[in-house]
Amino acid sequence: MSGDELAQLGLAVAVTLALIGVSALFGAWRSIRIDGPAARDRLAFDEPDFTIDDMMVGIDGRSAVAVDRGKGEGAVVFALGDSLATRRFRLGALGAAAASTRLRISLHDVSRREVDVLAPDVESAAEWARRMQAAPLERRDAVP
Amino acid sequence: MQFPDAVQTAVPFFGLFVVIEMIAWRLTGRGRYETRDSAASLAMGLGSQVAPLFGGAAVVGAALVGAYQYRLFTVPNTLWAVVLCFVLDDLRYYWWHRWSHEIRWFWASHIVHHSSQHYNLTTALRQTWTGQILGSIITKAPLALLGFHPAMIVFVGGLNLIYQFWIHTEMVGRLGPLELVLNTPSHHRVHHATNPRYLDANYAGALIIWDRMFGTFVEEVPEEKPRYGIVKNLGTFNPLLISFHEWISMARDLKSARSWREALGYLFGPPGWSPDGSRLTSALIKERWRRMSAPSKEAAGGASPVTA
Repeated sequence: MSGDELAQLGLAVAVTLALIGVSALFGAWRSIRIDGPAARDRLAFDEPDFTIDDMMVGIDGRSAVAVDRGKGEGAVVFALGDSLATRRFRLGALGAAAASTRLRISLHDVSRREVDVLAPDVESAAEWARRMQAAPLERRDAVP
Repeated sequence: MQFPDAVQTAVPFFGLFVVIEMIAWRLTGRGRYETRDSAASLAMGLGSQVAPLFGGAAVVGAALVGAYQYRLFTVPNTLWAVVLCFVLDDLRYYWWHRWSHEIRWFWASHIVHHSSQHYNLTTALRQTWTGQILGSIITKAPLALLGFHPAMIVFVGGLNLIYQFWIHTEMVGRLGPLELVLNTPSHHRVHHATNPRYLDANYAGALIIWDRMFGTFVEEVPEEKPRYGIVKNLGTFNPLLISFHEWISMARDLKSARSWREALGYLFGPPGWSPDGSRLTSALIKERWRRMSAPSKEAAGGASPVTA
């Protein structure tokens, strides 16, 4: 790398850092708080054929988990900055474990390995972990 | 005629216009900014300027110079030639861009540019660190073979990139008759949207005429606000993961392939392709959308909103 190229790189780094600083100064460092309607809206857009039979929104507003019993599928909605993202999966296909009030769902995803949903109580966390894992039974129960 | 490094010259102006857009966002409430998203976009932009220095730029330059040795004509370095080269380069860009959405190997690089859920001037700078070499050689070499000087080809490519900067904004509405010819913020918002109605449309660089000619033009409609990003939005702001996540996913898929056909499908099929059809390509997403919205359209007596 030549001296000129180094100088140009230095300028670009300085501009980048300055812009990040200005953005923060302008109040753009924002985090969304997920509620039921926001999670439903995002799921309806990303997965329009996913029927939400039941949903639990984390009490910290960072994530939510939902189940479509008819299809034997689950979905998580999680916050990323001021935006939301979703992942849909077959029940029983992913790891799910409850530790106290925290439900942890392991995703086979490069950009997001796991999502934690903070349940309102220990029983809810355990119940949702069971739902995420007990796919065959849930599906048989749900099919009309 | 000397050809300056247009992109390097423009870098300080990129920064200035980002600040102006942020101020406009604070004053008017139009558009949307998030610091970590912007930081990720800017980091990607910075990396995209550094990455070619590791050899890619030299390889592309050598390929263009090599092709120029076998040129059919010798186009003089005049203003009209620059204009002609710009138009032909824009046509080249249309097809390269379209392949970047239709072929997963190329999409693995281009997905980076679409991976933000925001649409502002920093999104314009969210550029790939990989994948410019093969695509540039394949699509730019014909211009050198036609007889355009390699320096001119690089120059007009830079101009095209600079043009595309300002159209990444929600601040600008529609631009009247200019919408017929130029790629505008409105047209490019459609391109970045994940609404099924808008998927795989408006691949233009500077001139929207190519989309109109090749049947990929879709108009932005007031009743459907674009929702930006990719159909499976990222769960990270980490620039390394943003840059390489699709390559890693592709490698995983390739490892699971049970035949050559599957391997080729994973590499060169459309993004979202899978052997059993369990994943969704954009064509399948659009098909699902048409199917699910059909009753409501019939009730309203409307035609299909897909214009592409």
